[in-house]
This record gives sequence, C-alpha cells and structure tokens, in this order.
Amino acid sequence: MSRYIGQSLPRRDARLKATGEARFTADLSLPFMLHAAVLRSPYPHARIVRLDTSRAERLPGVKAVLTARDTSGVKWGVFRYTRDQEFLAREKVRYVGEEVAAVAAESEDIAREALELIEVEYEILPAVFDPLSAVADDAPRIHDHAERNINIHVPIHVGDVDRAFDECDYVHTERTVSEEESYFMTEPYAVLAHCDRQGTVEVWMPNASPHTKAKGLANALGLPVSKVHVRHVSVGGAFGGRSDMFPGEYIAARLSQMTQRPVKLVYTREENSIAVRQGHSMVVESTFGFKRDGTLHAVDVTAYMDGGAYSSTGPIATSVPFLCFEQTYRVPNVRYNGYRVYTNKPIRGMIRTHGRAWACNVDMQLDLAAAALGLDPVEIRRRNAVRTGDTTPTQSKIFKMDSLATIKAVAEASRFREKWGKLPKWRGIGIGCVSVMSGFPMGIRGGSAAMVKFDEDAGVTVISGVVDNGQGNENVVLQIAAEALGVAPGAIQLVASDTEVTPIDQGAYSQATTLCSGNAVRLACEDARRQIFEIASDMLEAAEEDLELEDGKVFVRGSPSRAVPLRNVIRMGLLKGKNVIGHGSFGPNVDQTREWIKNPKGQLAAAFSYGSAVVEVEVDPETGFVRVLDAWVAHDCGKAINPKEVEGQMEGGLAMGGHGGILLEACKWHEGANLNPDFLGYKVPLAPDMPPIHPFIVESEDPFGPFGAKEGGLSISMCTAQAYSNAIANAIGTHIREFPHTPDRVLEAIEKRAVTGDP
Amino acid sequence: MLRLPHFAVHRPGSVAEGLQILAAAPHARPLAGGTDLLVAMKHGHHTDADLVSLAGLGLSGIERSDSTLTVGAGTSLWDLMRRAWPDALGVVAEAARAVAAPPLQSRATVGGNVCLDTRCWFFNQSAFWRSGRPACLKAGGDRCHVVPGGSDCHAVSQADLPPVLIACGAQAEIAGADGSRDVPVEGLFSGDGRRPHTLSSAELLLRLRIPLPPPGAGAAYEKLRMRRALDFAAASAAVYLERRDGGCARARVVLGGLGTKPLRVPEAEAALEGTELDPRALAEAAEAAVAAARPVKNTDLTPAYRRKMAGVLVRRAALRAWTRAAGEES
Repeated sequence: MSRYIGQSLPRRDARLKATGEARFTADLSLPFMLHAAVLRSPYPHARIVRLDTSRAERLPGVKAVLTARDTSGVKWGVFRYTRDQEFLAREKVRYVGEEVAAVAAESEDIAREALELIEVEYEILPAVFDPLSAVADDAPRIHDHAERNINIHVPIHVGDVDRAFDECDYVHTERTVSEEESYFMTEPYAVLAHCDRQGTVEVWMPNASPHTKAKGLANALGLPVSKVHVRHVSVGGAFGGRSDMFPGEYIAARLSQMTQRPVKLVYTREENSIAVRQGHSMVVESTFGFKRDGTLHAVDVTAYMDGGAYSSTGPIATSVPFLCFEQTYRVPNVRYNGYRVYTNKPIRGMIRTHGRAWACNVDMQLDLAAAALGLDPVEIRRRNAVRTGDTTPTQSKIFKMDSLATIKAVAEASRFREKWGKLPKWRGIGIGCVSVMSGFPMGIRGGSAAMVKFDEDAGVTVISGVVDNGQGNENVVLQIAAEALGVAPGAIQLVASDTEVTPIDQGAYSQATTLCSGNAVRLACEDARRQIFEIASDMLEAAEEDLELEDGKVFVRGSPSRAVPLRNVIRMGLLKGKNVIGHGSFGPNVDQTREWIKNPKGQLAAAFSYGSAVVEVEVDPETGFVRVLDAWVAHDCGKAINPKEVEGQMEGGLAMGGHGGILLEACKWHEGANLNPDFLGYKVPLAPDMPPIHPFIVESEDPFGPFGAKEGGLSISMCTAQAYSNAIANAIGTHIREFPHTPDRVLEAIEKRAVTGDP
Repeated sequence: MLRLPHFAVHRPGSVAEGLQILAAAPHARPLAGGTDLLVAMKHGHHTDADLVSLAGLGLSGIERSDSTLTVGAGTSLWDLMRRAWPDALGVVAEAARAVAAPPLQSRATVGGNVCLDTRCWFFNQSAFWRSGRPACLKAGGDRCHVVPGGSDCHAVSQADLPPVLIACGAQAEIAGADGSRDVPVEGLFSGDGRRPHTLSSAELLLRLRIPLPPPGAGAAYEKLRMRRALDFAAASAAVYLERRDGGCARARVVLGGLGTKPLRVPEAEAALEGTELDPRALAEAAEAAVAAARPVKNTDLTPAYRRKMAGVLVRRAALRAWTRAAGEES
C-alpha cells in the first residue's frame, strides 16, 4: 500500500556528505568576514580581579574586544528559574574553559595573538570537583544562590514506598558510579554571525532547534525574535550536545553588532569538549523491592549528578533517567530524589545515553533479583515490562508500546534462554531494556507546523522547521510528504530550519521530530491534497472524495483513465485565484501543566517507544578485555519510515551507549582540567572495535504518529549499556559498579571475586 | 582547529647539507612524517623550531644483504607493513601495523617512530590547557604534575617499533658532523623523559640494520591499548627467541609503554634462556617484567594494571615467539 513509507530510500544528504560537498558552518565565508577567538579561564574557580584589554585593542587587525562590560548581563538558563549563566564571566569564573573575553580580528592568527595581550589577574578560589564533596557543609560555594551547591532537586514520590518495602520478599540496595561521557560529534562547534545595517542578525551554527536558539539569542541581544534569523546549515552530529544556548553564538553575534561585519568563530576540538556540554557523571543509590513472583513492588532511588558550573537543561537532565525507568518497568511505589549539583567543571547537558550509572543500576537490580527469585533475566523483564494501556507512576498513559515483542525478538534471536547458565567459562550474555518518550512538554515551542506549496509546473516545496543533525530527519519528512502527495521524495524541495522562513518547530529535542514535525508535514500535505481535489473535482466532474493523487496525476478512483495531470490542476487553481498552499500544525497530546520540579505528573509525551538488547561477550581473564561476540537489538519505533535510517540509528546507538558507554568512554580529570578533550584521549569506539549487530524493527503502529511512527533509535542507545554490563557480569560472575567497565576495572572485579567469593 | 605557529622549513637535498643546517640552526628539528611533531607544535611546543625536511635525503627504502636487512629511516610504516619479511622478522611489520591507523601509517616513518617523543597527559595538551598550571619538567619547567615533588620526568615511551627493533638486535646508523656511526637501537634511548633520545641536535638517524636471524629464531609483539586502532600502547612487549635443540638458546625481552624508554629486561631473558619455556620459566620471566615496569599515571589505564600487564604480555609474546621459532627450526 505505502509507496514511500517503509522504504529504505537513499538519504538526500548522503552524496553531499560522502563527497565533501556538504557545507558546514566552518566552511562558510562572507565578504569582509572577521575571525573571532575566545579567551577562556585556565582555572576552575577564580575571582577576576583585573581585566585589561587595552593592549589587545591596539593590535593592528583587531576590530573589537568583547568582555562582560559590553554585554547586557542577561543570564541564560533553559527555564526562567535556572538562569544562572552569563555568556562572558563577570566577577568570577567557575570552570576551566569559561569565556572571559573575545576578540574579532582580520584573521584567526591575529585574533589568537590578541588573546595573549589581554591581561587577566585572577584570585584563585578553592574549588570542588565532584557532587558528593560539593554538597558537604564546608564545600566552597560556587553560586551565591545555591546552598550546598544544590542546583536542582527533583523529588518524586508515588505510593507508599516505606510500607511497600515491608510487603516485599526480596529487597536489595545497590550503589553505582559513573564518569562523564562526551559527545565527540565529528563537527566541532562553529558559528558565523552577520549583523546588517538594519540591525538584523543572521546566524549559522550546528544546532538542534533554530527557533530555540533564535529566541535565546534575541533575549540576550535585546532584539525582537524577528530580527534574529538562524539559518539552515549542514550539522555534523549532536547527540544531545547542541540542545541549548551557548556563549559562542552570543559572542559572534555581539562582535558582529560591534563591528558591523560578519564574524566567524570556530572552536577547537578541545573547546568543543570543554566549553559546550558534557554528560553528567553520577552516583546512584537504589533500593529495589520485589514480590516472590518477581514483580517489582517498590523502588527508592537517590541520584547525585555532577552538573558542572551552570544549569543548562538541569531539571530535564535530572528527570529523564527516572522517567525512562518508570516507562520501562512497572512499579506501583516509587521515590526518586535527583540532585543536580554545581561543581567547578564544564557544564553538563542532555546526552543521548542519559546516565549509564542510573540505567545499568536498574537492570543490575533486575538480574540480581531474578537470580535470587529463581527466574531468568528474560522472564523477570517480561513480567515487569510496561506495556500498552499502562499508566506510569507520574501519570503518563502508554497508548501503544510493544515492549514484549522487543524482548521476545532479542531473546529468541540470541537464543538467550538456551545459553543462560550454560555458556563456557568467561563467556556471558546479558539483556537490557528501556523505554524512551517521543517529545515532552516544551510549552509554546513544543509542536511543529509546516507548509507545502507548488510551482506552476507542479514542483513541490515543503517548508518545515525540521532539524537534521545527521540522523536523517529531513528524509523522514520528505518520505512522509511523498507518501501524502503521491510524488517521489527526490522531486520534493525541502526548506528547513530557517527561522525567517520556517514555522516554529520543537527541534530535534526529546525525540519529537518524527512525531511532531512529521505529523505537521503530513497534515500540510493532506490539506494541499484537499485543495487539489477541490479544484480537480470540477475538471474531472467527479466528487472530491472519489479522487486519488499519485505519480503527478489526479484521477478518479477505479477509473485511472479519467485523470488530469497535477500540473494542470495547479495551473487551474492559479487561474481561479486558488493558489494551493497546504498548512499543517501539530501539537503532541501532553499535559502542558506538567513541570519538571513543581509538578512532575501528567501526560509526559504522546508516544513511548521501547528497546531491548542482548549481547554476548567473552572476557579475557588475564587482561580484563571484553570481546563482544554478537549483539541483537530490537526497537519498537511504531513504524519505520525509512528502515535503513532506523537501523543506522540503532547501530550508532549501540556504538555510543553500549560499546562506548560500557567499555571505553569517560572524561578524565586533574583538578577540574579535562585530561582527554581530544579524539586520541577520549575513547570513542572505532570501526574495528564494533561487534556484529543484528537489528530487529518492531512496528506497533502508533495511533498518533505519522503513518504510525514515533521515536527511532534512542531506545537502543539507552538499553545497550545495560545489556553490555549484565553480559560482563554474567561472564565474570560479579557485577561491576563503576562505569565504564574498562579492562583495569574488569580485571580488578575478577581478582576481587577470586579473593572474596563475592557472587 | 588548533593553529600551527609560523616556522621556517629547510629542504636539504643531501644528508651532508641536512647535517650542515642542523649544526648551524640552534632550533632546527628534523621533519619526517610530521605526525607527532606538527601536533606538538600545534600544542605550542617547539614554537621556535626551524624544520629540516628529510624528504629529499633519499632515506626511504629497504635493502636485503646476506646478513642484514637495512631499512631507511624515511621508509613509511605503510611500506614496512607491505614488505614481505623473512618469517622471523615478520614482527617488524606486526609492530608497524599496531601503530595508529592507515592514514597515519602511510605518512609516518620508521625513523620518526624510533625517534618518537615521550608522552604524558600533562605535556600533550594545548598551550591553553597547560596555562592553568606551572610548566612541567618536559615543557621546560621545574616540576612534575604526575609525581609531585619528583625531580625526574616520567613521560612515557610509547612507540611500537623500538621494542621490536631492540629485541631483534637492530643497529642504528647515525650521521653527525664527524661522519657516521652505528649504535645498537637500545643505545638511542636516554631514559630521561624530557630528552628521551641520545642523538644530539646535530645528528640524524639514517638507517636501521636488522640482522637476519639464524634458523630457529622467532619473535612476537604484544600491544595493549584501549581500542583496536589509533591508541598508543598502555603497555607492550617484544620477545625475540632463538630455539636450538628444543631449548631456548637466546632470548631478548623488551617492554614498551611502561617507562621513559623501551625497557630491556635481562632477568626475563635469563629466566627463558636454557629452558623449554615451561610454565615456571614463563612465570619467572613475567615476574621479572612486572618488576622492571615503571608505569605512572600519565596515560590510559591505571599504573597498577599496566604493571601487571607487563607480565601477561611478556608471557604471551614469548609463547607466540616460541611457536614461530618452532616453525622456523628445521
């Protein structure tokens, strides 16, 4: 039935990216463009005693020097109550890498030379580098407003947890610790800003939501949003790390305002690592209580998340690991205390994996309970998996989610139950599950709208705010438009993510794009089709409801010879003053009164997806190295608009969440300085590291998604870590509580077990 | 991206001319593949350097005589890997394959790998990164951030070829103002993390001479690193053995990534020689390797772990070398 939905059509950006023709921000150049560079704090916590830019200003070729003195002092924070970050430090610096001053000059070399001429006198302050030390009574205070450096506290309590533990047959407490992850997008952050003589600011930069960027930038610059145009540009990866606003875009825009010339700022790899965003490191303490039959009855979790120096997306990041848990496994009684704590480290934001210490703690608890209660890991998950019709503890209805099909797919393909307990020594198998939301309440920027217009020769142009960070979102909406209009996707033009032109869209946040942007495009195309049929019904002397649109022709259903070319219909419309322009607007069915801290209950998202993973590993007992023999991943994405894209997301998700997350990736530190901000030091898995991956797409046909589709891929990046961790535990006979499980930690666990006999 | 500083490049057309330039310019540095030097310069090291390109010196190529394989210092690692080696010296290609990744292998040279600078978390960082603390010993300062209070630089020697070349008994041909001389490759390393090589700034490494092993020789290289490509050795071991009448007549054991220079372990060699590589001999050799290793916390994985791995790698390399030697023993 579907001609374009469910087809693995080539991506429209594939050729451009493979040949290097695609233009990323750093590739852009404008006439009279200046180059910017940023002076950053080398200290984790210091008072700025003196800041003298006069020598830099006198350097030939320097056109402007920017410090906090030249800014309005507007602070950034994703929420009104989390605005704590100035784009240039005013009185003190709070992490290594914080912006202190910036220069615009005729060349990058001059700009960097000028930085060396800026004199800053710092008074070094005591600093704190981990959340547990930061909440101690005698810890240095990082922000005046935050007692014990607690930035965010998310408290959730449903049911009666204390009584429920008394009703349990098995109660167990676990503590897990993880280091920070980093994104390592291929494209380091860059921004080009151009303020013209009318005061309009154009900006190009990698981003996940041009409309969010435009609003934040307009606020900071004191301009109406209509004066800030964030333009479309190729984006080289995001993984959550392009989600909120960064000083870079403010600095480039402000320098352009000051000089009335275009200003480009390109970060080094190190700047991209330390001065954009990182994932949260965390300490997670959990108590899980089960009934004898393996049903989860009560959970109490406290998480301390290292938020770094500023809030960023704090309330969301502190909540999401919990929310993904409550959507994954049923639990009637639950208490969560999430603390995001300020430290003198770089700012932490959203990341594709959302806390391996959190998610793996949960699935470790399930495996331990299964062992204690005489179940196998697949069975305990089958018994507890959230499914269609359930309501989560915080009151989200799960309309459609085939969790059990994903568990079944990976368990059967891997022959889990045949292997469980019977594998040779040092081999292990493990399973992990997660549910991910498609979208969540984001207020006025929580939905999407689209338009579709036609050339006089029936050429189609779709106008949508959709953002493609590399995951293939543009193809998703093109295939949706193609299906709705009966036109090949290759024949459709897409104007995307340009705030001057495209309607407000939620951006590539919260896995909402397919659901929201996709629906908006579908609705716009359906609206256009209605208009086309209205015009054509006169031409064909047939009722509108009897008409079909396919292959550029409108015809009467059942009599394909009674047809008129779409081009003629469009031209007839133009003659009659009925220019066909389709409109579509979509807002997800969420409870907009839900709030992350004050009111964490109500419908969180319109759709929830599910992912399950099994991996089989072999551990070298002498070196602690883990070889992954095979990986099976299954994902209920509702409907795969483009199966190859979904599989790509699943494979990439395993690489980042599972392989990188459990075996390799961690930020290393020395007194607040990131020791591995580069591709050599930070261990992103490489092609030869990757195991064979067997992807299974489960299609539960979401009632609200366009053609049944919802989030595609994140479920796998968030469930593979658990499978990896559990498989290693199965191979070595003990769980490792520190993440990632690097070979030194694996070997230590093996040796400790040999000594203590710890099960 | 990080910017290179401005620098001059000299392009001598002969070794003699190259040596003249090196002697005359106080900050001259030889430039071969540049895969390490240029990165260091982007990090703000050697910013006053005059680079002397070795590309025109005719140092590339591999020649075989009855007794020796001679490898020009300018030979790329890629060419080294593709070369058909006598079985007992296949270990040289094995080590070259373990370096970085193909794009770097085709650019990097044998001489550059032998002369690779020592590395440290606190040294291989940008000028910005390092500006937050006093300069370390290797960067010309007066302290070590890895071993506070220490007066020695602990930057680690992580190159892959030197352990193998030392194990195979290779000689290096060094040219200086007074002509050229051959020194054992082992003698190229000073053990001082700051200035890890014994070559003077006016000398050049021209060639490596690897003696063709006798029948019954075998060698193997084991490299431990986080990922299967790109990463430097967190620990490595090269073992060369000669097998005669079923016993080990000669052994050479060298560790990499575990000290400021490739570490020859005579006690491990003694433990293997005269044995049939029985488990006890292997255990003794491993124990000697563990005792010889000097890891500190300045690269991937913990020092205690890396030290332990010295023993595992030596045992594994010895066993593989022994199997290879058995194949050669006719």
